[in-house]
Amino acid sequence: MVGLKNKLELKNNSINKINTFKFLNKEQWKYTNFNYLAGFNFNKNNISKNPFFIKKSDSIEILSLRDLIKEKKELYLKFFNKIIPQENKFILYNTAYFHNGYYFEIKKNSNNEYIFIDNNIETNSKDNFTNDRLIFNFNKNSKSTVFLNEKNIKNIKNNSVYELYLDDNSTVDFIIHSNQPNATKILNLSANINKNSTLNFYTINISGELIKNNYYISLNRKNSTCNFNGIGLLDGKNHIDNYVEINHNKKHTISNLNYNNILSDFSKAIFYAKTTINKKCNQSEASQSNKNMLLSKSASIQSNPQLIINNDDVQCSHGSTTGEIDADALFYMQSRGIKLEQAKKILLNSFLSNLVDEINDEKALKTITEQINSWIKNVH
Amino acid sequence: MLKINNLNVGVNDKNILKNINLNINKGELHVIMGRNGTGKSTLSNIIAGKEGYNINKGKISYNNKNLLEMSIEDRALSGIFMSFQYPVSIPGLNTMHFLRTSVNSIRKYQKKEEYSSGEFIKIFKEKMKLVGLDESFARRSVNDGFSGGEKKRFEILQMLLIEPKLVILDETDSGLDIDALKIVSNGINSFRTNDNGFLLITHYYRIIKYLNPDFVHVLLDGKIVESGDQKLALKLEEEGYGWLEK
Repeated sequence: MVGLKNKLELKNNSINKINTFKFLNKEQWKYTNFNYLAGFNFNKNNISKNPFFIKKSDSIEILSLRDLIKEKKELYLKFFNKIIPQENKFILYNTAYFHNGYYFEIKKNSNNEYIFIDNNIETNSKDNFTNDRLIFNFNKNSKSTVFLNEKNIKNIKNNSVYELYLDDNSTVDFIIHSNQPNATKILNLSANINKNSTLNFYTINISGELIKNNYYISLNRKNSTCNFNGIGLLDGKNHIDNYVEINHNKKHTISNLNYNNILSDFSKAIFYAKTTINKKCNQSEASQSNKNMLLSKSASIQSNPQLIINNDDVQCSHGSTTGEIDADALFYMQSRGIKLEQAKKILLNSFLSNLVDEINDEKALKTITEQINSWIKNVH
Repeated sequence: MLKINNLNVGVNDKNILKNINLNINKGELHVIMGRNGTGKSTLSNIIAGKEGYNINKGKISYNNKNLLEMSIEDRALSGIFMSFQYPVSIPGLNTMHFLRTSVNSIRKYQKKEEYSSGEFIKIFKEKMKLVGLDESFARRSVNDGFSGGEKKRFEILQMLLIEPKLVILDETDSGLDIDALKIVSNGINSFRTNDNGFLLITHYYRIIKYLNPDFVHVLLDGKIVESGDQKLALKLEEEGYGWLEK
């Protein structure tokens, strides 16, 4: 019961912090109505019947967080709440009140491992958020794919925290896909990447009432690499706010951040990225790119890719573009006999294709391609 | 097949084309030469259907239909093809996918059987060889990162696949080295029949000598001021345009 005692301590500690909490980083929350989000109940969990439907390769160990706390104290102490920064109320709420959750262990020297998770978390009250939490421990020399498919169900108000630990020489494709027009949700995700390890991260958000994603990536050892690819497709009054923080903490570390949004109707997207190359991180490489296509004059994007460089011996680039569908490209395609509407759809697909093509997992690629095509087919 | 009568075109308040008359019949290759900024590209854009111009006066008929009332894609579907002076790059759009969509749209309209993926790959590879493009082209994005010469060859490749009836070649020879010019010219010549017409816009005699045009016209200040045969192009090459000015 020592673990439970620890959880209780952690809970009380988090509740105390919530009560005295002040925002540390205002820029990160400037464009999303924090007060609106904080107005819901985060301390009254609703239990979905089958919150997660999990398929995995045999050698992957899986424990509910309840069992982890009860039975694997050393793992609990090592991996629970260790890397997620305690910098917003929602993380503290999750730590205090998390209910649904799992710990996944991907074994040393394992190859082609997979975890497919259908996320069916639903709240049964319009005022209450659920708090779910996932921990992934990718051990040395492992190669694996995680595909989190967030299902479109009626009432989605989720406050999620994911923690990813990549030990030396591990390669992980981590894919999150959601197509949830009714969702109001907050995701806080941290990843620690160790020596010679690569995280290929994909986040595909198709629609959503109000989505706030905070990603914290730490490149902690030599040759740590993160390839971060994101797609946002928004229509109606969708609002998606992404904050991506990448910290280069050792020399020879690499990060590539590419995020493309297509916005229609009255939708709004925020892209705020902060890549920091710390001192002594020689020979590091960092790139940031945010491309946005606006299909309506009422849609808007706030784009702010920041590079903070504290070392001269690095290669860095960043850029942001926002525009409409290229009229010259449309003319070119029409002059080849392709109808205007079809030409537009083809151009929207082309705008995303360099990111979609990066997805290696066939199942994820099939699902995501279908969802993107369906969104593009219906958007105007 | 193409009849331009008394065409006057402007942009904003500026008149660009003035009283243009031109007939292109099946089997003919016409050339338009002229200084920069005299309206040559405006004429090709008007035929292809680009927006942003005011047609102040005049008519264009194509196979006895009013061309100016046709949409851009309907013009293409009815057999008009323009090789662009500056083809636009479309990152992320695969060349083969683009061309198969284009060719099949046109074939469908013309009530021909659409190409299957396998059939198209075969014919695509065949035509690529003709214009000297290697197979890696099939994996690239449309005009993305292409050299000037590659872009022009890609335009000719499109022409060979689309098999249009009326071809507008807007400075297709610009930016080509001697070898590429030969390849592009051979591509054009291989497609010439008694059934299709061509309008080539160029600054140089060097492509004309490969193509042996039927007519050469000179456009100066928005007007056709002289028409003749290939000898006219040679004279312009040697003497410039000064002698045509009043």
